[in-house]
Amino acid sequence: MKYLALIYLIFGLTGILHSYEVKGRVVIDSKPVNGAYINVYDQNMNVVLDSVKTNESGYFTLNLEEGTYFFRASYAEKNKKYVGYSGKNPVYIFQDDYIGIKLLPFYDLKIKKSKSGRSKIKGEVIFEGKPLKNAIVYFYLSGKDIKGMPYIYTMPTNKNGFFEINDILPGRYFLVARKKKSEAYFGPIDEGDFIGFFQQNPINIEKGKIYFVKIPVFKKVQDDIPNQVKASFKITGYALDESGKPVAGVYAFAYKNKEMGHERPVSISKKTKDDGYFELFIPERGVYYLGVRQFYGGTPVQGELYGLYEETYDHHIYVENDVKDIKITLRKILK
Amino acid sequence: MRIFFLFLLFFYSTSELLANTLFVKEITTEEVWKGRVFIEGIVAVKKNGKLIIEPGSKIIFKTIDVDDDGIGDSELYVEGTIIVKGKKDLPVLFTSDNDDKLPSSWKYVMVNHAKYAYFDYAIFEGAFSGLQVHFTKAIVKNSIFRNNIDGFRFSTSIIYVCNNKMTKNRHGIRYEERDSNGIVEFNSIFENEIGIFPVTKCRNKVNFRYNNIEKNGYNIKVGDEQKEDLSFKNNYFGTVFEREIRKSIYDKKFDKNLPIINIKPVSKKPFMECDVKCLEDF
Repeated sequence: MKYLALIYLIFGLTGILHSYEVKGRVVIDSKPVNGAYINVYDQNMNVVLDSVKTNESGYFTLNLEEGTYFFRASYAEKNKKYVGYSGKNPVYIFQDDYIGIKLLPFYDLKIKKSKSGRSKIKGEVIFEGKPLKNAIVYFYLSGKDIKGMPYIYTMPTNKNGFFEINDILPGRYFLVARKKKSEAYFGPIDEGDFIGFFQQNPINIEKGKIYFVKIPVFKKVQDDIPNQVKASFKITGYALDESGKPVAGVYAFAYKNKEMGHERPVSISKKTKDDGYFELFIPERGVYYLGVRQFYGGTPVQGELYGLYEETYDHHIYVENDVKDIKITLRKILK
Repeated sequence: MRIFFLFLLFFYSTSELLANTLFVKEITTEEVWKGRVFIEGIVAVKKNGKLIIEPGSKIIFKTIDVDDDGIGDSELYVEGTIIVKGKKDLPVLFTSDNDDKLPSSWKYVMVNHAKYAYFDYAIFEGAFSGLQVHFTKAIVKNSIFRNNIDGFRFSTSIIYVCNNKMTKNRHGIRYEERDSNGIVEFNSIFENEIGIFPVTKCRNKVNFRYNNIEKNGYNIKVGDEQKEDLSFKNNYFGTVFEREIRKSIYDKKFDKNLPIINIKPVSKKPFMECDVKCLEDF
């Protein structure tokens, strides 16, 4: 009877901790990689899985419980080492998912003592073996913040792909390099943008040391949903101009707080296409404050297209079912 | 006389409570207020609405605090147009219904993503923020901000602020300049805990000049997240002695992580009523 109870307990727990199938593919220059290791980390970069390998077509399959993870792949051949991260990191797994990883040449970290006693970080952003100009390197205090506001970020890299931060406070940082074709400092990575993760994230900066890092980046070729959330409900609608015509290239957003912009939105749509259509994925029943804007991240600026849901005085909507076909009119700020 | 009532329906969380329980009156066309107007809940001037308030009117906000956050919930929220036309001897008063007029008795007059805002000879007292202006072109003249947490607060706006008095507030003027530009001139900012509080993202595109900024706890205190040096030239700080003036300006000299507030040249005498020349339009 005791054993029977134990069996029930085990099977009961298995039922609660449902796992999802994550498939993916690892490539070098679009060619599949056989035998690459897939490393999965939690948000504190603790190893969750590191024994899964890709097959001859570069594919892998693994199972994960609901949660937020970092996906990394590594591979070595003929004295050459490669490391790659998913551009979607960190990824919230709440359903079966697909993760693509591009492997890039591995660059080792170099450290030396600083004569001045100050801590510095110097580095280079590299695309296809060459320096990348106008990339920005973002420093985050924790892995879970990578899609939010950084602790600090560099000036755009120079023609040699070079960046530098002097007097950096000792601590643990996650480094991500990005270059957006829109030249915006913030926003989801769109097709054609560059993104790369420092290959030994997180970096531990100590007092009185100079760190030399190289961050290889890749060009994103396919759009994905930014800031994806576990969706219980969906809000769909259209972004329109003042004459009622659809507006392309804008983002819809939903906030939990009336003072929109003081926190990260709960959900952000993909950029609208010519029909102005957007979808917002809402995690749970409740009040949300809705709007649409032209630029992603930061405070709206003069001349930016901006609009709020107008059916309630403070732009809120109560979500308890899917909401369809709402319309939000955009106007230029202060024009 | 108008009275807007509050309905108390207790369900959902705090923010949802506010969204669902405060009575909301929406103004969608042109409306003129004259005399005593009571606001119990929220009055929202929508995009196509226009609110004109006549000289001598008294806008009285009922002291209610549904979400129990210590800040009164009654407010005037403007996304359309607001024209407040007080006169020197007949100002428009925005106040609370309690006798003490304690700060935060009501929430604010919030002008946000509005078409246009004009305030002349208005008095704001006993609010969390007397007047907030964001993403809007606004003119604020000849008005008094007293006994509020924030007297006047703005961000990302085109503003002209002239000949106002900010006194006995926690912050006389609090601003996040961000993408604003404008002029703040001929104001008297005195006896506040902090006279002017540039919180963050200020870049000298709003010109503070010809103001009397004196007798505040700090005449200027820069926010922890402000990065760029700021200029407050040609203002009067209550004395001609730089060392004394510097004691009242909380910047890099107090905290090496903060930027510098440049004040030179300073005015050697206060600006008087006869000096004031407010622009008619901006």
